[in-house]
This record gives sequence, structure tokens and C-alpha cells, in this order.
Amino acid sequence: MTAKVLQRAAIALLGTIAIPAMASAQETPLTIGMSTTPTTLDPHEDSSAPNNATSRHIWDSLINLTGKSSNEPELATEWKAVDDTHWEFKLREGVKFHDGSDFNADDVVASLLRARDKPSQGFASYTRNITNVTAKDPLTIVIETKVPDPLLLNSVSRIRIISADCKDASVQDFDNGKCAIGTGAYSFVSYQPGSNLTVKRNDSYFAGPSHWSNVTLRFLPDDGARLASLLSNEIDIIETLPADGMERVASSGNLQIINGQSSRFAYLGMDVSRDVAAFATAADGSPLDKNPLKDVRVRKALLMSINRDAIVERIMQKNGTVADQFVAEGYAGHSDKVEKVAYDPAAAKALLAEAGYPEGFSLTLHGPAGRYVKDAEILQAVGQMFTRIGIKSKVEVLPWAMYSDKYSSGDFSFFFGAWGVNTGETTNPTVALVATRDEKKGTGRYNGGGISDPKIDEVLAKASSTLDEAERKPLLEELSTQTFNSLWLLPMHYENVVLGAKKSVSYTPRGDKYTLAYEVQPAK
Amino acid sequence: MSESNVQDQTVPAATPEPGRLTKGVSEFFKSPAAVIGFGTLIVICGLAVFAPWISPQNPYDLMQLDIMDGRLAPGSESMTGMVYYLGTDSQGRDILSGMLYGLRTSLMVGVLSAFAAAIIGTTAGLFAAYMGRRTETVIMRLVDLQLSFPTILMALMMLAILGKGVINVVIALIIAEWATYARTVRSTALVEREKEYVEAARMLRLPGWRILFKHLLPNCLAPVIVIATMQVARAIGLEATLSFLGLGASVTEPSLGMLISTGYQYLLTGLYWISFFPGIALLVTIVSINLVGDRLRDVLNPRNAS
Repeated sequence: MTAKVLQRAAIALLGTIAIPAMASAQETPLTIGMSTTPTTLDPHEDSSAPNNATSRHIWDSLINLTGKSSNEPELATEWKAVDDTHWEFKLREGVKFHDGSDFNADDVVASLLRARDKPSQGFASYTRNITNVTAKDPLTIVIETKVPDPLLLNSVSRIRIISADCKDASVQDFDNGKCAIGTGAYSFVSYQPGSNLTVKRNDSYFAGPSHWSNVTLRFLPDDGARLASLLSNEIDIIETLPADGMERVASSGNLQIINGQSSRFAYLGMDVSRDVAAFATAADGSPLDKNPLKDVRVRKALLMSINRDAIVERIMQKNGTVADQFVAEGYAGHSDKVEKVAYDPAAAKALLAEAGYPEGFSLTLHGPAGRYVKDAEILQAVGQMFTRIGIKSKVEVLPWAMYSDKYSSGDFSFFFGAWGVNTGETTNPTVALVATRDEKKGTGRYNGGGISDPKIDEVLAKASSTLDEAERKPLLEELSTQTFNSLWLLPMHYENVVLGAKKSVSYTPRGDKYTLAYEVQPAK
Repeated sequence: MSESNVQDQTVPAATPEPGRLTKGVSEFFKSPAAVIGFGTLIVICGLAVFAPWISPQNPYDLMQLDIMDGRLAPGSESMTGMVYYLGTDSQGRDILSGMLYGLRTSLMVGVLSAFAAAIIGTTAGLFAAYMGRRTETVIMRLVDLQLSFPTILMALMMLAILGKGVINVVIALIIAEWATYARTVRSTALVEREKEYVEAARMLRLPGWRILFKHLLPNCLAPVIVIATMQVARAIGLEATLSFLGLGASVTEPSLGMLISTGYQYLLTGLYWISFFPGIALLVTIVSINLVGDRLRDVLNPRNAS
């Protein structure tokens, strides 16, 4: 009797295991563990890496930006500059949205204008030059720019094309799936903000259906949790493999480390505009009558006190490379004229005294937790090093959602930031981080230090309107020279892209660090 | 246990009214568990109070930390010859020193918030019981509203409004915890209010505040003491949770919860000591407070006394 019951139970149990196993023979799900959390599914709300990587799964753009920052046809099949300020794009025929409606020029016009006119202005640095978008015929659009814009193609590659029906939709309409309708490789299934996004294969995708039938993006900003999910085989591929986990992954039989170079440049920004910095006080805590960070000697002393080699080596565990400017050698705009500042705490102390702070001062450093590789720990280490030259440092780290608004609007006196230089040239970081803040022009949106250097603005304006590559190159280099010889930002390092994955998948990391399911391949 | 029961019955008969306090104290120490808990608690408090003098390093002083000493295993020696008995975290912070200082923060948060909440809650409960009518309704509905939120959610909301920082954690915990006291004190006070001595005091036309604080309050204190003790442990646990979530103490001045949180990401990589030792310290602290609290409840419970 009991034996029979047990037998039946065993058969039933086997059945439940066998069915999903058989199903997965035809179905090929993929789970990606993202290291950051998107703030919304609305693809035009905020141009941050997690948002753009997430939206990329559901939506396409006119141009596909490859992992190496080059342009490929996507929803547009060809394009040309008609004159200095007009670009014409031919659209792909026969593309359908996930809901079955046809894609045409109206959708493009609505999307580009929506991205430009959104109150959040998240895409301002990409759309600031677009004065008008018109549909010439259902499969041709014309973009008119204010000034000659050499980066227009790159900008356009970042703007996802939504259905024109959704042009007035709110952020909530995207998050609850009502407007989460694109032309992309996957269609929306469900979205739990802060937790995960599930999508399924779009079988009629114009570039050919994805290998993966169902894709789940899990948002796991916690290093330990993300690593644990990979080690326990719950997840196929994780972003930003924690440095401390590399050994575990390397020694495991079915996991691999995927390593590549990223374009993300980490820096320290500071208040260089206010006469009194909110978080800088005299060493004894009394207020200072002037802002020490406005003095270039103080900024240089700060950079001299930071042992960047030690940070890359010890804290990032070699998952980064020491940086002196926006882009590494070989990229457009890398300048040989940027003076390299070496680690020298004694000289830093002397320079600080020369600038009028022999006793140092007190400073609060702000940074995000879990957004960038080892962000909180790097900032604490910087605090240690500052303290050694007499700058009493306090370190405050905030969750990214709380931090992101505050650092860009200039609430902090000294802060940690990073910028993915996805265009592979220097106007892009200059526009966002260094150019004088101007909401109308869309410049300086992430210029949290209030930097305003007329010389840089002038060179930037010139570089941004020069279409000729040979003429442009020295201007791009000038931007690096000016920014880093004035030390408007203290250069820290470039992050490496390190992913952990099962050996059953293969992936080539992108410079922008996005992990896109469509580009993940089954291992041969 | 049976032995103490016999004594329970004999003692009141032999001495009609011995000092309630001395009786309570001797009663308290009859439980070996309570003695162990109490002893441990004294040691922990001692360690916390004297941390600046006994810890090998000041973990809050960035000058004394060196990232070159980061992630060293327990027993390693630093470049300056100092021994890290319990290892270091990623910043080169001595875990032993970090724990001693962390205990200070944790205990301070626990004691401050529990006692401040006790004062506020007790006063509110007494008023509610004594005044009755509308005052009672308003206070008690507020209490109901408050208790319908999970404590951790309440504390999280408060921190979202107040911002980070140890003092704000204390405030958040007070706001999250006062209602428990108010409800208990009110129910006790309701019973006491009907007793003859209160009636007598009223007959004598004693002022209201005097009846409240001189007559009602002392007779409602027993449950408050018990709850307060337990709440200290709860508050320490909550503070650790909040710090673990990144909303409590500052990263450069870690509490126990913060240390556990920073070590958590290394747990899978074999660097167990960053989380493990602070975790043990937290556990021992909370257990010993709870042992003391449990025993206090037994001793002060009027039903057990007779």
C-alpha cells in the first residue's frame, strides 16, 4: 500500500520535472542579470545606460549603434546629408510593430520630437540640435538641424522609435505595458519595476528572429546577489562580474569570464562655481569664506593625493585602467598635451599650503552605491587619501535613484561620476559634463560642478558644427587639453567590462557595456 | 524551576511586605539563563563604552586606514606591525575595532530610541486612559494606524523623508515604536483607574497630573520596563537592517549592520570574516538582551508573582 503510494508519488514527481525539461528543448529562454536598475521603460524619459539597454530589447532606432560605436542601418536603410543642416533618411519597408500596426514616417517624426520635447530633457544632449523632423513621404523623413551636426547619426541611433499612437503616453503607460510596443526583437510580457522585465521573441523581426524564445532581464544591483544567482545556475549571463567573484567563476566547470574594454570614464567632479561650497568647511568645522575648489592648485593637489594605481589594482582588482582624460589613446580626441599628474602626497601637501590651506579643510564626498564598479569603496579610498594630505573627508554614499538627480543638478560639493563615452570622441562627454549649463541648448545637463569655461564652450561649438574629419580632429583634442589641464574634472579610470556567463553562451562585450539579448549567442 | 516555585509560595508568607525591588532582584537572578544574559550584556556594554581605549585602531579615522591593508585574513599583520586579529574589510579597517565602535552605535541607537519611545508612548497611553472620551479615541486610533504598518516600512518611510544618518535612524525608530508602549500602558492604566486608591485620590481632589504621574504611572511601569528591554533588542536589529539597506550609518562610520552589509558581497568569495564576526556580535547582543527581557517579564508579571 505505502509502496504503491510512494511509487505513484515518484512517478508524479518525475513527470513534473520531465515536462519543463522537454519543453525547454524547443524553448530557449535566456536570463540576463543586469547590474543596474532602469528607472522606467519609457525610452525617452532618461538617457541612462540601464534605461537605454533595457529599452533596446523592445524598440529599435533608425540606426543601430554597434558595440564599437559605428553606425549600421536599422529602421532606416540609407541616409545622406542633403546640405549642412538637412539629413534625409529612407525607412525600411514592411516593418510592423508588435501589435501588428505598420511602421512608417509618422512614428519616426513622433518619436524624435517626443524625445526632444519631453519635460525630463533626458535626451537633450542628443536632440538639442534638431529643429524639425518632417515626413517627406511615408518612407522618407528629413531632419533639420540648427547647425551642422557631425554627431547627428550617433544621436539618432540612441532614440528609440515608438508607435505614433503613444506619443502622448505617460511614463506609467510604458511601465504597465500599454505602450511598451516597439518593432524590436522582443515584445513585452511583464515588467516589475526594480525587479525584472520579461519579453518574448518577435518571430517576425525584420533582422531575423532571435535565438532566445523568452528573455528575462533581472535587475540585481547587489554584487553578492548577482554573483550568487550566476553560481546557482539561475542566470545565464551577468553584467559587471564582481572582482571578488572572478576566481570562483574561473574555477567553476560550467562558467566563464568574458572580458572587454569599455568606454566608461570615471571622474571626480566638484563645485567650481559657487563662492562658498556647501560641503567644504575649515578643518575645525567653521565655515570657509571662499570655495577652495575654485583654485586650480587645490584641484591639482587633490589629484596628486590620489593613488589611482592602487585603486585600480587593489579595489577594482584590475578591472579598470588609470585614465588621464575622456578617452584612451587611439580614440578621436585623445590629446598628447594633457599633462599627466602623478601620485605624490608630499608635493600635494606643499601645493595645498601654497594655495593657502596649510591646515587643509573638511570636505564631504558624495557618491552612488552600486552604480559603477566598486563606486562606494573607491570613494572611501579617495577619502582616506585626502585625509592623508590634511583634507578631513567624510564619505556619503546614496542609492543611485536618490543620487542621480542630485549630482547632476549641483547639490554636492565633491562627487563621483562616470560617463560612457559611447560616441568614441570627446564632444559627447564635453557637452554633458563640462559645457556651461544651458537648458535651451541642451548643454551641461550633467555638469554638476557648474563648470563654465568660455574657451571650452567656444571650441566645443566649433567642433560640433564641423563636418570635415580632418578639421575636427584638432578641435576634439583641444577639448581634452582644456578640460584636463584646468582639471575641471579629476580623471580617475576607465572601467573594464567584465561579464560572468555560463559556458553555454557566448558574447562580445560592447564599449557601452549594454548586455543585449539579441547579441548573446549560444556557444558552438 | 520547581524549587523556585516552592520559594515563590513561601517567601510572601514569611515576610509580608519585603522591599519589592530587592525581592525582584533576587527573583531575577534565580534563572541561570538570565544571569548569563545579564553578565554578557554587562561585558558588551563595557566593551562599547570603553571602545576608544581598548580597540587597536580608530576605525572612523581615515588616517589610520590604508587600502593596502584591505581584505586581510584574521591574524594578518599590517605593514606597521599591528595585528588584525579578526581581519580587515576592503578599506583596510580592522574588523575587531570596527565591531567595538559599531557596538557603540548599535547600543546607542537601541537604548536612545527605546527609551525615548517609552517616554512618549507611556505618556500618550496614560493620557488616553485617564482622559477617556475624545482624547482616548484620537490617541488610540493613531496607535492603530501606526501599528497597521510594518515597523520596517514605517522606519524606511521616515528615513526617506528625514534623510540618512544615525540621529535620523533614532528618530525613525521612535516614531515607529512608540505606539506599542501607548497601547500597553493604556490597557494597564484602564484597569488601575478603576481601583480604590485612584478613587480615593480623586476624593481628595488631587490634581489630575498628580494622579496620573504619582499614582497611575508607578503601577503601570512593570510592563513598560519589559517592553523597553525587548525594544532595545528590536531597535538594534532594526538599525542593523536599515544600515544593511544602506539607509543608516555613514559608510565611514559603520555600525554592526553596515559592517555586515559591506562584508555581504564578499561572502561567496571566502572573505567570510567581514560579515561573520560583526554578525556574531549582533547575535550575542540581541540574544543577551532578550534573555534579560524574558526574565524581567517573568519576574514583573503580577500573575506569576502571587
